Amino acid sequence: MELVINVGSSGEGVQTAYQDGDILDSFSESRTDACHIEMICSKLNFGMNSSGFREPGTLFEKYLSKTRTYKFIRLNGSQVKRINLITLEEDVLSPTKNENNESINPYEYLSRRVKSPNHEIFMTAQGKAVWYGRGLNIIDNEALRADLWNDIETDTDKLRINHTNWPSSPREICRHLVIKSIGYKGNKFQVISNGTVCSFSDSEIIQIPDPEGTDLPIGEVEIVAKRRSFIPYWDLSASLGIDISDVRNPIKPIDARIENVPDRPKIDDIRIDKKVAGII
Amino acid sequence: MATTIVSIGSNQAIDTETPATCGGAGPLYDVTWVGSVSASVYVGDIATATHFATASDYTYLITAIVGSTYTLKYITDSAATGDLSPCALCLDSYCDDPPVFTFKRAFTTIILFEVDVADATPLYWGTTDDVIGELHADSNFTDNTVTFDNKQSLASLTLSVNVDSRHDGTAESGALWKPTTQSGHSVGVCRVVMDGFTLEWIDMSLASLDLLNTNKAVVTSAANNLIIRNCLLHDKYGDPGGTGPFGIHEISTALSTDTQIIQNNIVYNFEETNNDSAGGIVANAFAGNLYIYNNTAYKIVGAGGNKHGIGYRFGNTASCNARIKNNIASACNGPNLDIAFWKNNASSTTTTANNLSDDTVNVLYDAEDMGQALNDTSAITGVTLAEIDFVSTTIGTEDLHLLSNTSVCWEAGVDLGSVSGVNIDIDGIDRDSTGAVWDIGADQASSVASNTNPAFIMFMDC
Repeated sequence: MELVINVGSSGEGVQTAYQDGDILDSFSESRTDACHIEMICSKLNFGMNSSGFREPGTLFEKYLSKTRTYKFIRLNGSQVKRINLITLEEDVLSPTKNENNESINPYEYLSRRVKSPNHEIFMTAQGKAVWYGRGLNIIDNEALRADLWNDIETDTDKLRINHTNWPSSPREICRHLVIKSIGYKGNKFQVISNGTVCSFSDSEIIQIPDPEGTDLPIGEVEIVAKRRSFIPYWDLSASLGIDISDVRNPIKPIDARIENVPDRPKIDDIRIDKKVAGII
Repeated sequence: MATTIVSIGSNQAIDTETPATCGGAGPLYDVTWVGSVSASVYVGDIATATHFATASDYTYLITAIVGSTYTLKYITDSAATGDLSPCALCLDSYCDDPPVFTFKRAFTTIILFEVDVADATPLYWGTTDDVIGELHADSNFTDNTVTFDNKQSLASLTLSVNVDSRHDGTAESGALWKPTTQSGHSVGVCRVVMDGFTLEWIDMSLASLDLLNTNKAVVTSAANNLIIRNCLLHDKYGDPGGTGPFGIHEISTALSTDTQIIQNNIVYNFEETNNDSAGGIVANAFAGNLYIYNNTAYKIVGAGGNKHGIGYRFGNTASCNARIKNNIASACNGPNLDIAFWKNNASSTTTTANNLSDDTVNVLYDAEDMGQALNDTSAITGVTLAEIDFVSTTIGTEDLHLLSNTSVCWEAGVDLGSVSGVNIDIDGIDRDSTGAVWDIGADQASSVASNTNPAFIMFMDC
């Protein structure tokens, strides 16, 4: 995982502002992986054919067919077939509402889509318009991402092993400290789940009870701390091979991401939960 | 007051080019390039290069693009060498040529943009600027929650989407904010606790959060001069916890002199599954001047015996002055009450006109009476979904634009002028430029007239 650590404080000791060492953002391996897949397979990297439609059979269509819940095929002037790509169930929609109040006007729908220069409408050799809908969560699906990389590496010169870092911007590398960390349990290095990694950059919130007699819950919350977790990076100069004075120079790029997994700091050794530590 | 645009997206290698000519004087330089710069480079992006002479990494912000000339503003360099023209940087020790520049987005996540907004020593903008952060559709934004609560001394802050990354009025057609981890219950994916904030053109999907505690897309708290416009907020299903799903929820009273504007948004598919009400646009607590104009709320569904589905709720405080005009509320249903519009307190001030509710709602809470027997004769009530005539209500390919000519919403609205861009519909069409009477809802259907691109023509015969 990668962690973006705040350097400096926006208000000394004021936990509702960012503090020195706060984990500002956190990227799991799976989130980083998904980001690169999406960038490579972005529709902006693929053109249209001479008829103004997306070309079937491209990496872009392979990507959509695997990362979308539904495939739609226009059957004729008034009917569209919907295929659930997960369950493989099929049904046919039309301008007449079905029992779920679903309907579609295929002509109007497609006419509007293709007005965009970046539309995602394919046209089959048989003259049927095809499109996909409702993206899936690929972050939490390692098998799907592996399959997508297989397609990418087959169709392009890009390799998964060259796309393992979050694409941090210069500001992020200079102003903050970006490191890689790793889980460690049972004497083994462990990749930590996306949900847990994301929680490392959570705020600490408390729920405020609704006033007596509230008929519609308000659900107000108070942010007690802008960030619940921090890393005392100033103690990691030796393990990360960094000069803390350089880290604290906001114009100097310091990329402290260690590639060799065993050399990365273990997350449980470096992360401090402010609530557990009694800071908040 | 200067306006500074910065880009937000994951692409840190948009293009590489070498400067050909550089005009102007520091910190602004007008640069042309040896090759053609990618069309994916925009104002708000940054250009970086290493100056061999001092081994310094230079960063410039693109502030304007006119034809092939890019205006670059010197921002910083890592060795503190100082402001130099891009053409004065050296590729090597001979310094015959400038180095190759790489074009990048300024920030990679919305969270990291917000961190800089809260920074007292900003890098890309002046301390009193109007700042616009523009999302780009490089990859999905999965920020689980972003709280905008400190803009230091900035005049205003806008979170927007670059014009070429905007949605086309349907989900997942442009830059997409789609978290996959939870925000914390009732925190909101986008939380606004500051004055002078605009949220626009955002496509936010909660579809990956069915089993998680996230329940609200946008939460605002006592935000003055707030504008939420041209956004798609959609697809929260499930039982997130003690409070049901909301599209937009203002949770605080604020001041009676404060102003909030919510216009030209489509909020749909917020469906609770276990004993909570659901809300589309709920500004019930807000005590100030509230403008809810030309929104479309569809399929807002509560669950549980005494729970409701609520399209719009407002005006609980006597000092609230709410203007509710040109909105659609359809399929807003709950086991207890099917509420299209709900003015909560008879003592608050409300001006209503040309709102629409369908035939599924409780007549007491329809577009005419709004829970207070307002008797607004300009309202359209009791219409069927077929009469509203959205282009598609098919799950997975929803399109809540109006079918031209056949929808009861077509040319049934009232002209609301142009303040705060109320005339700009969900597709970016200027209602006034169509020459037609305003439609009800977020879409100005009469804008769908003609197109000459090849793909469009192929559909003409079908």
